[in-house]
Amino acid sequence: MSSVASSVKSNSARTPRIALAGNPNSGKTTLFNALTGLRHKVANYPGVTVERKSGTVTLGELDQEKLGHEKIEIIDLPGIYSLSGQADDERISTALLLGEMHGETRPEIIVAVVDASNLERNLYLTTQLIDLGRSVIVALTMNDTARDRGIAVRTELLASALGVPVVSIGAKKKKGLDVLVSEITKALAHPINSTKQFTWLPVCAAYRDAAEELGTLESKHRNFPEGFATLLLGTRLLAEEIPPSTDEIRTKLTEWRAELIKNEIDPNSFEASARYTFINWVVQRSVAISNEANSPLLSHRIIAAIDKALTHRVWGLVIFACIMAVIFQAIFAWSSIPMDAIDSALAVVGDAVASSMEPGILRSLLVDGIIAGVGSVLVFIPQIAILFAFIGILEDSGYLSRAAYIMDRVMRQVGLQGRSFIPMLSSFACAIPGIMSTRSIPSLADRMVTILIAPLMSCSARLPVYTLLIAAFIPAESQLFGIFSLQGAVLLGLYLLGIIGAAFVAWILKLTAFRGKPALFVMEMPPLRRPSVRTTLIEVFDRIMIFVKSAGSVILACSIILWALASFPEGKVSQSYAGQIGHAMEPIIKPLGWNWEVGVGILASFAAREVFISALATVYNLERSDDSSSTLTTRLREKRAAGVFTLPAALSLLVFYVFACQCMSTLAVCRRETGGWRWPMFMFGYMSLLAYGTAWITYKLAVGFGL
Amino acid sequence: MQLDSMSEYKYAVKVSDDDASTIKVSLSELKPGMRCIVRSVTASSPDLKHKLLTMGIIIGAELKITSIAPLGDPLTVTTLGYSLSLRKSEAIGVLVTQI
Repeated sequence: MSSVASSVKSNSARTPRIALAGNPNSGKTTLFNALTGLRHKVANYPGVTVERKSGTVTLGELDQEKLGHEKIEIIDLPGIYSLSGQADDERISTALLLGEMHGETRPEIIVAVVDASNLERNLYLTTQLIDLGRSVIVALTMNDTARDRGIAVRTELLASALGVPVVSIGAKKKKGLDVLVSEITKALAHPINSTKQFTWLPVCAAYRDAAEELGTLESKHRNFPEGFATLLLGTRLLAEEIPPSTDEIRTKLTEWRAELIKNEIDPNSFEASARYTFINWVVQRSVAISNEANSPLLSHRIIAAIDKALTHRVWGLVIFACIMAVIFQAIFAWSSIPMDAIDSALAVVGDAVASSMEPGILRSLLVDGIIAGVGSVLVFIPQIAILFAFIGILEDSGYLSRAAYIMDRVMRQVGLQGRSFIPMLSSFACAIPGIMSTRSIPSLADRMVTILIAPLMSCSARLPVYTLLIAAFIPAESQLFGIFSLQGAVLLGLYLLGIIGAAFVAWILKLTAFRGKPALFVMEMPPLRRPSVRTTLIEVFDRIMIFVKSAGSVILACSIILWALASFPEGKVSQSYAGQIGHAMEPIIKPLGWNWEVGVGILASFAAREVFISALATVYNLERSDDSSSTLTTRLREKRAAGVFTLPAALSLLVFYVFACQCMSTLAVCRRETGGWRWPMFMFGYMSLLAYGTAWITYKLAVGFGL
Repeated sequence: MQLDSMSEYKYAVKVSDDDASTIKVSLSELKPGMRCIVRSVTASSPDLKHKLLTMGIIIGAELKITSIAPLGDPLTVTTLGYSLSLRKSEAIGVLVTQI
């Protein structure tokens, strides 16, 4: 009984929180995964595009007794290079570490993850973390890589130079993790706020005095502790990048800046120069570089040769094209195997339910509403899994950065950057994994534009609609210039139309909504490494869970609503609510050459494009069968012969499908990635207008040319 | 830290290196394999300047141009023992002397 009572008691007290902070590519995610395994969750910080990852570590019995807690919570901060920047992930991290974020308590301890093979750059953030005056523990990763390069870090010397404990997470990872957890519990039991804030200020009296006074003044107006304002905010304020809080401070700032510049000190670069000078001193004291660095191992020479080939003028492009072809093939073609399997499994379930129940509303709801809805959620999982498996491997191996490097020149033509390429490419298969993979674009403006134009790429769900209409309206025997089949040319034209539309929208967005927003490319090129299977699998699992959680309920609700619209009042489709809406839509869709039947199809395919085909089949009172598209083609040809469905109407419908945002899942994922409904609403709005406008122009032109 | 005066800074905090006798060129003009020392850092936006400084493009730092992308831009440099890639338009304000 007593153990139950004590565990209840310890649960009621707040679980201690540990923040994991470090540079991108520092091995932070690997460390987080090693600590928490699958006991973690991924969410978004409210209102921003920054992801929040947290997990728990269960403590050993001794530590539990010592602390009175069963476990500790680990928060994995986004990978950042600095606390003093203005990017969302940097601001969020800083606010969280200071305890200034709404709904987030201040972490007790900061674990600074430092890549031993890239010590100087990594220590930049570490010195800023120590400046916050909290308990900091340095976790040294990539020790093997460092050793291979002849870099030997003396952890005890590094610890004394920095004034904080340093734990080496080496090849025997388990041991390193145990030491790290015991250091964390030690620091929790006896909190020591690091007093060794860096003495980089005393070396320049003019700067120190100005920054100190500024810190005192600003901390009255801003929610920052004085020390932070002095050290970090001070630098940005003096460099005129953050507006001062009052006019009094503004006047003083001008004086201080003039004074500093008179002394030949650039307030803008002071922080960086001073920190790197200090780091240089720390590294010289605690790192021994052996001669091996001058005569690299054979394996290093091979890796260096591969790296050279990957960005080579000819081979780099060839390898890039091959890798992209494999990825595209995988998400486009290979994923259809599991997708078809999901489809048939659901058909079996649907039939089983149908045959075991009496015909009626409930059966119809289960089979056509719920099972179909669950199906349209599940069917995306193979593409998401495959794309993120590839991205995980490419990112972990370091190739993702090289791909961005190679493609930057091309993507910049439309105002985007190299890192937008893979999201755009995967959007040809499906915009959902495409939008989810924009996470690797650090520039907010570039990321938002990439998200907003991703659904303009013709995805695989549009293909059945394209092929149906092309088969029914474009003569198969016609040739273009005697060599290309006209059907193929029209299909290619639709894909190109999507690309041109996307480039146009990206250009407009860059001139309007995202005008003047900084879009930096500056990117670390991580060394080539063997990718970790574990990290990749966890990433795939996380992305699937995120998709199911963020889109699942929306898609299911939508498919039930659409089922209800099509099923009530019972009887003929044209009398159902969907039919009535289709009729009511006629004045709007008539200028595009469509009748109410097409209207019902458009309405039904609001949730997902491919539904258009089954909806049209229902409207035309076709029997449900697997081979419905060929009978539907025949029916469409009859409609054409009867003059109800003309060629211009079919062309305008095709163009409409290129641009229209008929995918509830895309909108749900966009909401998740942009942190609200604002951008998905904008996406739906602009795409609908674009689709309607271009469809109208197409219809008018086609009629004008007498088609 | 036992630094007593600014003159002992490895990386200068001055507005720019005032040694007029050295020939300064833009980082964006260098070819792969060339080495240089950063003499001054200016940028088209405060965010870019902050980013460059944070990533180790600081006055006094030694850079080596390792590659130029297949399509001619961006370029990759090594600084502080790691590789950093940046567009030529971002590197244009970084003035260096070749060594």
